[in-house]
This record gives sequence, structure tokens and C-alpha cells, in this order.
Amino acid sequence: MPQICFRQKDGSSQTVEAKTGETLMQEALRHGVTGIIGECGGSCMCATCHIYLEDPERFGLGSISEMEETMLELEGEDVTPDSRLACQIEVSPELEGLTVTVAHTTQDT
Amino acid sequence: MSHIVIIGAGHAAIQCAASLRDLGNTSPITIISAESDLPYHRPPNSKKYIVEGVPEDFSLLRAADFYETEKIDLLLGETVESVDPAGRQVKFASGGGLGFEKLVMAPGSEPRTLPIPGIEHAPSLYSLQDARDIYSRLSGADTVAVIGGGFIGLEIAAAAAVSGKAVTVIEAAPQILGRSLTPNLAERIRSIHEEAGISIIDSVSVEKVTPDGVSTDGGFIGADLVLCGAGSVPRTQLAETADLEINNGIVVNQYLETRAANIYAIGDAACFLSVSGARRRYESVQNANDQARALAKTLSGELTAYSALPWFWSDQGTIKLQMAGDSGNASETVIVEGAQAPQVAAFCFDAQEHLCALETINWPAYHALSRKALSDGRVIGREALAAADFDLKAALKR
Repeated sequence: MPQICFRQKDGSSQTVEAKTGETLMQEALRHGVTGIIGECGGSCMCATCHIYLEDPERFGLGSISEMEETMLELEGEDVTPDSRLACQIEVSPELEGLTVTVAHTTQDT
Repeated sequence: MSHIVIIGAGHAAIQCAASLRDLGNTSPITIISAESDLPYHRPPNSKKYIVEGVPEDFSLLRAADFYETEKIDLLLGETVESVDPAGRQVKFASGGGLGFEKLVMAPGSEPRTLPIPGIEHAPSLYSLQDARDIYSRLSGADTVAVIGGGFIGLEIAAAAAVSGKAVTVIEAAPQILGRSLTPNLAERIRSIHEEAGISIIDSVSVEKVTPDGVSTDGGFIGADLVLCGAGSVPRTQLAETADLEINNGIVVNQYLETRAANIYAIGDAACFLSVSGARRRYESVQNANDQARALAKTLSGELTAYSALPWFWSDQGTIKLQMAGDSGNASETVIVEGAQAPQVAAFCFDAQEHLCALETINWPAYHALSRKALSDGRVIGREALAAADFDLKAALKR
């Protein structure tokens, strides 16, 4: 089970042991990571699990589906080239050491 | 601090409690749920759990320790029997009661029960427990009949078909999804399902359900398992005990207030006054969450009218059906084909020839674009779209 670090914009962070096969969104929810809501349950419909990846290429997370990309557009100016939806990233052993920053600071987006 | 009691534990109820805390509201909050499971996401029930089983760590709406951390009292397995608006008290079926200063009713909807002999042989899907029960019965079945060709019936049918069952959908109306979708798109969805091997029988009335199938006025349809997916109805029984106004749900104004002081209704059961002045009631995750947010503001001292753009989705096998906007205001519809068949969009225009809703099959980019544009209040005229050959992206850039 890879260790994944969720960082908040205020600099605080939380490292969780993520289950292989689950999505990053589900694992964040399970561990109560602030700012990850997953309002649509992981159907790529809502962008309430918006994160920024650190060093995505290193973890093989460079590509993004058209659906995810357009859903991220709903987030407007908060989107950067490192933006992803946590519900669209499956946890695998290769993600060991990944750090992501949560885009929204409160429980509510 | 005034005690806020929330009845229900679906998306609306939990989001309301969470938003209250986000807004810094420190009132005591009690959530009362008749179900014994921790509050969970409902969509996976029909899309996933009935065929894959309900995992032990099913998808929770909030982490298990959220309620304690946020000082929210969560009463599970407790049924509210009646509400006394004057005495500001809810009474439990198990005896006892609880006082409130503000009451949020988020009872949701429940499967429509059909007055048909033997209907007890055709379970409906609503709760996580229903999903567990149906999964255990579905795993031993080769042939499945689903009564109802609406969203829930088709999601169940598609999930069962993907898992290798021979599936028949039985619909009383001449077409599936008749009440909820542009006819052209409904026709398209039917074709996709039929090509995937699902048999759809329309215009028949179910006369009787037996353990080995369904008798209709068009003949007998044998099935190892019969499931009922005939849509849902708002839960209004509690509101009746409080003498609230009921008309297609619990009637609320634009602030989601019922006619009783300090009692509010949100989610599937709330029939609200929309910005267009029409009465609307939506059974959707979006509606539940956005109403919860609006009400949390009102309860925290900032009177907020509910005005969010409705959106909805339904996953049916390979079909991703998405809708944005209020198609109830549509007076004309234009169908546009996408490049990656099956990919279709229905542009719905109101009487002023402005885009009021967009329904799409397998076209998430258009869904997202229209949702953002309509949410932002952009006026997208039919003429502008026609000039861009109904290329939504191009039209929005103009």
C-alpha cells in the first residue's frame, strides 16, 4: 500500500496509506482529508476532488482524459497544468511517495 | 445556540450539516436516519453494487469520524414517527422525542410500489441494504426482468446485462424515458441498449408477478429474477403529520421554507419555487447538495434563495447520459450528432430561443461547457449556435 501525501494550501499535510485499486478520491475521503468531497461519488461529474499533482510525469500520471479535462474547466481559474480529479486516479504501487495539493481549503467547495 | 435537527441521511442531509459547520455555525446539530449504515453515496447502488456486491468499505459521504470531529450527533436506525410544529418536537417510533429550534426535512424519495398481485416477488432498489439483497439474488439468476424503463430501471438493466445476464425491460408507455428525456435521445438510448442485447418491451401492462416471471397483457415473460424499477415518489408521510402543504412533494418557497415556521425541506422530496417561477422537484445529487448549501446559509443568518442550475447524469452500460439546465422550459429542440457515434446532443431552447438545457449522450465536453455557461448566466441564442453549426465550443467563443 503506497504512502500518499495530501497537502493543504496552508502548508499542513497528511500522509495516508492508500489501498491499491481504489481511487485517490476514495482514499482521501476514507482518511478525512479536508477539501476532498467527491460529491458525485467518483463519476467525473463534479470536480469536488480537484488536486494538483507534484511531479506527475515521475509517477506516470501525465495523461488526462477528455472528460476529466472538460470537467476541470468548471473550476475556472483554479485550474493549472498540474490539475487532476482525484476520482480519476487509481492507486497503484507506482504511486509510492506521491504528493498532491488539495485545491479547496474547506470541507465545502 | 438553536438546535438544528435534520431528518434523513442522504446527500442533502449530510451536505447541510457539513455546510453549516463550514460556515462557522456552532449550533447543536442532530441527524436522524432510519437506516443503520453510515451515510453513503447512493448512485453506486444501481450503477455498481447490485452486480459487484456492496464492499465492506462502501463509499461514505463523509469519513466515519467526521460526525464526531464536527460535533454532529448522528442517530442511526431511528425512525421519526411524527413532527409537532407548534411544540417543536419530533417523536420517534421507538418512543421518546427530540426538541428542535429549526427542523430540516430531507426524507428523500422511495421506490414507487405498483398495485400488482405478487409485486413482493419483485424487489425495488433504494438503500444499501436493498443493494445487498438484490446482489445476493442476482448472482444466482441467468435471466432478469426489470419492470420500468426510466432511469433507475435502465441503470439496473444495463448493470445486469454487463454482468452477463439476459435482461428484459418492461415499460408501460410506448417509449422508455418518456417523462424525462427528449424523444430523439430516448430512441437512441433504446437502440444502444437493444444492440447490447437488452430486450425492451413497451406498451404493456404488468398484471401479475410470480417467482418465475411476469404476466403482462402482452404475454408471459419468464425470468429467474424480477426487479421493480418503476421510478420513485417523494416521502411525504412525515410532512403530513406536521400538516405541511403537500403537492408533488413537500411544498417550499424559494428559501426552501415550508408553510410552518422554522421547518424546511430539501432534496428529492422538496417541491420548490424555481427562479423561472415554476414549481420544480428534482431527484438528483446536484439538487440535494446545492439546496443543502443554500439552506445552510439561510440557517446561518444569510437569507439565500435557491437558484442553482440543475444537472444530472445516468450511467447505463456504455451510455453516459448527462443533462444540464431546466428542459421543462423548452419549446424547441435541435438534435446534433457528434463524431464519435453513439454521441448525440439535444439543444433545448425556451420561447425566447435561448438555450435552456442541453441533454447529451457520451458527450461530456458539451455537458461541461453548457453547464458552465448556463451556470454563469450566459445567454446562448439559437441563432448564434446555428451560425456556429451547433459547435458549442465555437459558439461560446464568439
